[in-house]
Amino acid sequence: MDLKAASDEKLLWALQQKNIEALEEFYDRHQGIALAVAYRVLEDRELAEDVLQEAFLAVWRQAGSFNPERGRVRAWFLSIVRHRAIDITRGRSFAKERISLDEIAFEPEHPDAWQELSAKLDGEQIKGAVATLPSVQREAIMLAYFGGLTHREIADRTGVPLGTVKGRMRLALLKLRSLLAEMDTGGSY
Amino acid sequence: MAATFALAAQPSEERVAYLNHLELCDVCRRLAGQFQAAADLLPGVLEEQAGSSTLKGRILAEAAADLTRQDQRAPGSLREERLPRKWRWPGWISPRPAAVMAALILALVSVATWNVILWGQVNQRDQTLVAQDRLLGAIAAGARISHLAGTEAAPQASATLIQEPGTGSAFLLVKNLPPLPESQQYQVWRITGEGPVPAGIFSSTDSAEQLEILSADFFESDAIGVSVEPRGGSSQPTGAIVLLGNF
Repeated sequence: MDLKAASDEKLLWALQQKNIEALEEFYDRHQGIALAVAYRVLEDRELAEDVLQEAFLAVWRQAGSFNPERGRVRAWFLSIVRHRAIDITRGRSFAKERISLDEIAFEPEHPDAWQELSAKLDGEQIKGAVATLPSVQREAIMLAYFGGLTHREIADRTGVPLGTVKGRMRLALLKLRSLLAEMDTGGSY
Repeated sequence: MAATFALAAQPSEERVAYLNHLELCDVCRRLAGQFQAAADLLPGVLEEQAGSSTLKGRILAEAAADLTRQDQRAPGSLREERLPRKWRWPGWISPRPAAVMAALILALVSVATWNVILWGQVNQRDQTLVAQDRLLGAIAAGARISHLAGTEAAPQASATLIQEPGTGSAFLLVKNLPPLPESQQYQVWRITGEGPVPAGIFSSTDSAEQLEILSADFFESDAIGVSVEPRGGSSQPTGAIVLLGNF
């Protein structure tokens, strides 16, 4: 198999066969954005690299737990990284447990059309879409996604009711989705 | 709920309860999927970062070590060891027939043990199949289904209670309960206006999932809980509560 040309799904299959070159290729492909996510959550370079080490090894050992019908490999892997980084911020230590992919591997089904769209989007388009969100909505989803805060913690920090925080999150994700879908059909944002 | 789930902004008890709900609710699962797809784009706002020069090497070395450990455990890679010089077969036993006899005895014991294990597994499997058949029948007949979420004592645990009306019994499907020592068991409680009432006891197993049949009527209860108790159970909850659910 030409690993460089292989899809992420094929790489995971190779990982299940314990192909270490496949792990190297998987690392080269995803470490940049994965480290960015971990660092954004933890704001500590060393901890972020520790999370990455755990996450890559978890995938190496449990590659078979990914269900291709439930979304993209990259999104699945980044959710592993993010969940582990958030666990650290919420006080769960490395020593206590290895990453279990059982909970994280439960990815709600993504509509196929959305998968196709999200694969075509680049960073600039996503940054642009997020920048157009109302600031309070952007703040809510950023505090949750990268800050690792629960909705209650966000409500306490921002001084707004819990229901308002939940509403902002919902509206932000709905708006993000429609903005990006509009981009795909050629609309301006 | 779907948006907070997609952003992982729920406390762990709420997330576990919502995951349990998603397993049963197609509508909510679809909605959660749509929100998750939007949330999954957020890493796109970040600039990629290069790992340190040693990070990749550490990961690949650990992965290679996994392979070495697997090879060492594989049958056929065991090294034959010579008996130490000071140990000698008794003169009246020739080593070869003795080795053959020992191997034969070991084989007979292994086969007997394996037969006992298999018979136990068949019996257990039959019992499990009967329980599963009854469970499916109860669900088809419109049984009431309630979900229990893991508490801080067992955040990964969850359970589903399926109550058969008019039978005085219920099924409890539990997942990811921590294993317990022999001296302890899990005890189920139905919570009424008068407080917790014992509703069954079960032991932990090696399986991530287990199905228990309870001889208790939960229809007049307000809630259900599971706690860790000494083997044989208690009259009132004394240990950590691991699962809770309301009706």
